[in-house]
Amino acid sequence: MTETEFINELRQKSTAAYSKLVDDFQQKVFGTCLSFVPNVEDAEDIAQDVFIEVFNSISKFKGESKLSTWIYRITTNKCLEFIRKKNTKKRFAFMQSITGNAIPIDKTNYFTEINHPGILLENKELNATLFKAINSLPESQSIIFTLHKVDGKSYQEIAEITDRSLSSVESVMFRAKKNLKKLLKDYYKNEY
Amino acid sequence: MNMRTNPKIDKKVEHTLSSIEKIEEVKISPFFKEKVMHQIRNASEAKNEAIVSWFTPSLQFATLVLFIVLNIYAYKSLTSEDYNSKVEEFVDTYDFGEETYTSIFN
Repeated sequence: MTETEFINELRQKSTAAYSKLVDDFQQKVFGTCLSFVPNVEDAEDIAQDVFIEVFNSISKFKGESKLSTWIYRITTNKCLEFIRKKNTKKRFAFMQSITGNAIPIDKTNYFTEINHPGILLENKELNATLFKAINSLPESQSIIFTLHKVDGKSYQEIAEITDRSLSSVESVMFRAKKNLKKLLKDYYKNEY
Repeated sequence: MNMRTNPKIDKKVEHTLSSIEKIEEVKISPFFKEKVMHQIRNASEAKNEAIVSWFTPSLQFATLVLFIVLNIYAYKSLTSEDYNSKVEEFVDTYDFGEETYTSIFN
């Protein structure tokens, strides 16, 4: 079955087609969700929402990109939406902690409550700091850094998902790494 | 320059950044697919219900009554003498009667 035929089956709301779609994408979608949201239950809920969104919006899919790209785009947007909701009140907590005003790091922040079975116990604190730092970056930088470094996607895949050129992805990635180092340096400077 | 390099801090930053590579893959719950398919089936049924929900039984009955009434009216109109006389008049006017057809080969 070609991708076009498969998309037509999805448009006709064929249960068999959705069963195949879930088989093919559940692990990848969940992996991406867990890269953005380091909580296994939340990541699973978001992944479920992704498949329901695909079911509800498949008629709007024009086929201008690959089906997988479209699904990862939905996944990224769902994760960002979730993080925005969680961080509305606490989004500047990390920034405050690095201004040198001796404001203690906010331990109630969503990213300090890590529930990620893939994170080793000895790295839990390091990863919590890292996730918070990543989420303090400008959104475009945090998306590209997460997709590449945490989720392991290639620059080409990221370019397709974010609808950017390859050189733009490379440039944003360079800035993300630079800013991340600065954020972490400032944060640890307050600690020592 | 106020950003003095502290080797201890640099090491900690590198250590934090490299911790990302030690994150292991997490396998999705074996019940995930079942949950998603259940939601998809529910959403599908809800859509089907939405399509037929406006055509309520009372509306179905009203449509049936209207259909029967229209058919009775049409049948009565067709069988009425007035209709037949009008048709005959039409046939006469335009010479559509059988007797008017003559072949040039006869």
